[in-house]
Amino acid sequence: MSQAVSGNSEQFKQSFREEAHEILTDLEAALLELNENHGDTEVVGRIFRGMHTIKGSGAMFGFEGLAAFTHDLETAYDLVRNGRLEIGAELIDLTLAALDQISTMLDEGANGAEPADPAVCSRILASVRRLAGVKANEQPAMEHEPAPEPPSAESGTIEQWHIRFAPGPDLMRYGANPLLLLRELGQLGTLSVKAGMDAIPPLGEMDPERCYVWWEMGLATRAGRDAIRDVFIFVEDACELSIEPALEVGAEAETALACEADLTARALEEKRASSPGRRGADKPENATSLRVPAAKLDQFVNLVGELVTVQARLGEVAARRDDEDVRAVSEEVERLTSALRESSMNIRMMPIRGTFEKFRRLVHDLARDLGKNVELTIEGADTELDKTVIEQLGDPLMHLIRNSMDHGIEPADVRASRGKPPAANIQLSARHSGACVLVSVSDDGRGIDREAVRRRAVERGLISADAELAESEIYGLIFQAGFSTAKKVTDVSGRGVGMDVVRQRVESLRGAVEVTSQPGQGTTVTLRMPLTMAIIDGLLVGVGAACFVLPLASTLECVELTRDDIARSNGKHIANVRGQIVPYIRLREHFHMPSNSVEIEQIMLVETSEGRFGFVVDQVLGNCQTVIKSLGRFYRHVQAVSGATILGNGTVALILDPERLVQDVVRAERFSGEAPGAALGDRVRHRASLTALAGNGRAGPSASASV
Amino acid sequence: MSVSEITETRQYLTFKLSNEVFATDVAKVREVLDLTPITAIPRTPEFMAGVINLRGSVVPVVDLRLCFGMSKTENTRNTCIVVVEVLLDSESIVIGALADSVEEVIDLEPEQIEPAPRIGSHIRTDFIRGMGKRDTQFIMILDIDRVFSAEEMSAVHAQEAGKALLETAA
Repeated sequence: MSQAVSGNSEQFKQSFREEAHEILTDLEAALLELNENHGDTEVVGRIFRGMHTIKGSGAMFGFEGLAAFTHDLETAYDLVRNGRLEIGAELIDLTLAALDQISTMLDEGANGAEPADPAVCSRILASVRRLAGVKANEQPAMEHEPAPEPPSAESGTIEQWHIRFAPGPDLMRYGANPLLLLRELGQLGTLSVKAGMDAIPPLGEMDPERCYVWWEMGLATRAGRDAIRDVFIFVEDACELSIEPALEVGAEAETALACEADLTARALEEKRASSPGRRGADKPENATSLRVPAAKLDQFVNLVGELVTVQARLGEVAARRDDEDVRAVSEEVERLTSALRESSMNIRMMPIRGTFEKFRRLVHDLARDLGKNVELTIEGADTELDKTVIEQLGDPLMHLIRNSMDHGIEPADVRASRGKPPAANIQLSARHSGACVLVSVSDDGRGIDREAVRRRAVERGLISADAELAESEIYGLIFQAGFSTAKKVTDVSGRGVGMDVVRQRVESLRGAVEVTSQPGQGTTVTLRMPLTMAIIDGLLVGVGAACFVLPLASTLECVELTRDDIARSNGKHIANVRGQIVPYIRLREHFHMPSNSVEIEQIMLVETSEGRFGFVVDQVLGNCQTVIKSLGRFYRHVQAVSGATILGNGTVALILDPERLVQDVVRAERFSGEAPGAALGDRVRHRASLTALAGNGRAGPSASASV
Repeated sequence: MSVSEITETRQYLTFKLSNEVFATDVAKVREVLDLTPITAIPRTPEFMAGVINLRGSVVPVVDLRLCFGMSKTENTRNTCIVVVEVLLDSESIVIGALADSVEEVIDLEPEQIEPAPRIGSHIRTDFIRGMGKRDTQFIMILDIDRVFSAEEMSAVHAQEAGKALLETAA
């Protein structure tokens, strides 16, 4: 067996690791649930099963140390399950520490991860044993050796079971070892085994990676059907398994009968036919979901992206040719691509629940370390986001939560003196808003002290002492690298690194950070994240010869802007849309493009976090499916452009980020006190090209005299 | 890489900027394209000409003449985009470089290459791996990785200068 799977064993180990990490996450959630309600037996059962799974499959894939370690934990929870051990905060904290340990052990040896510290292991185990031992006088198993579970001394009569186990052709390819399974089964009670070898082919036709043998077993045990099934839990999909109670009387006879392989096979055939569905309703979700490597998914989405680009070309060609047939086909292709695009994007969407749930542990641990009483509430965990976005959100959220717990939430006595409830609340929430998802972390702590932030910024020379800053700009300061108002640096935060990380990570995902805070009431930090990173619906607009794409989801409507309108507005960039005042940005001016404007321009109204804005363009060309391509690292500092896309005619159009564009202009206008765009933009450009020149001129005085 | 590291005969792609001949190791060159429409990116330094569509990928294009202190590239029939693969911080990226014309691929023996003179070449010496001699012609062999990482740096500086300006305007 070992030879058979050695080639793939690392792969099996990897998939075991992935599965085990998932189970650990579940376990963690279950433990924290248990922490709320110590008497929940259903949760205890879940924990026990999770540990059992890790132990069982760990041993199977060669993680013996891990299996041994988990075994003792499992023993403790078995005691809890049987009501012989009380659940307490100590046991839960200990188990959480143990889960971390298991996680380390899992990654041992993979990707050069640190090996687990045996000292930590034995310390945890000793404590678990003490808890289990003191309360239940049970002799725990030896460390580092999966001690055989003695036939359980629990009450219950010995029953005879008839088990038929026929590995499927691929069982060994999955890395399972049937012998280990039989051995484990033997530990449950008295086992008699008979191997069926009728299927073994002549040597020449034999596939060494295939298991041709099947087994008939009689087992006398006190363990129930579930315990027996648990032994086979990882191979259930890859084998035929039947577990039937054998008649007490006929047990001997049946075992004897089993010697006659033919007969038994026939008998079992009947039995199997009469037995209900082999797997029952254990895991109904298996039938409807499928695990796919992320890389395959990415490739799929890339291909859809290319298809969308080709379709755009086809559309262009069809529009040029006056051929009814071509146009019909092109329209059909467009409809299909659009549907394909939507469903492929949908595949990448995942609920944010997993990421949110992970923080229960963080809050629990931090609350204990900081001696604060904090509850975490989660809202909108089913909100779906692109998987890349979700993966990247973990770190920023962690920093925000740590910050809230350390700086935001007051110590218990302060809370009491302010008449706040003793248990502080941190809320994680997610909700959709147009083309964005708003993920926010709020606390009911002391809020941000605007004056302190200001003072600190002046001290550090970030702003001048008499600078007038809007509220949002003051909050913006806390995202500066190295900025911290904390008087002392703690383990948790205060180094001024966290918030900088938050901003950078969120901005690299084309997101934005917003902060609101009420002194004494609490702080809310909202991350505005794009819904998807790959393909969006866009609106194609033209300015001069250039094309730009605006994300369709943020656009509202389109109104005309005539020369007369401009003349009437006395140089102010404000339009009157049905009585509503809307400031607008002329892209032509903002982007310094040649200004031979058309007679009637169009204002595209867009919704941003700063309110409603208009972007003035020459013409609106229509909507298009937009495959977002990164501009690459050469242009990573460009703010207002979030990416590029390839149009039907093969040229590249830039995707504008309305949010950033508006922020740019708002900031420019505030600082310059002039009309948006023009003046300040010029200065920026001037300075930029000067620096560029300076960079080139470093060679020496001759640089300027070239050509 | 300096000239002393050039120990074997290598092939170089030569191209012209203005009337000077430059060369780059062929191993760095992915392909040479005729001039295609370049989409300019607003509010970026002028030497960053924009981006092009290279069979479905978006590739940045740099105006090498501006990098070397010459005037902006004029589009002519001979103008080409030399697509090179460069290493920036051990990350391999594809960049297009505008050239007034692409000449040929030549073999140069190590003894045909001399260290770049410290002055008189108009170009930062660290951009040049060496001076190739062929007949009476001098060919400046570029260290293309160096050129682009320096240009990237100055692009970043330019953007930060823009930002700093916004902040000091307060």
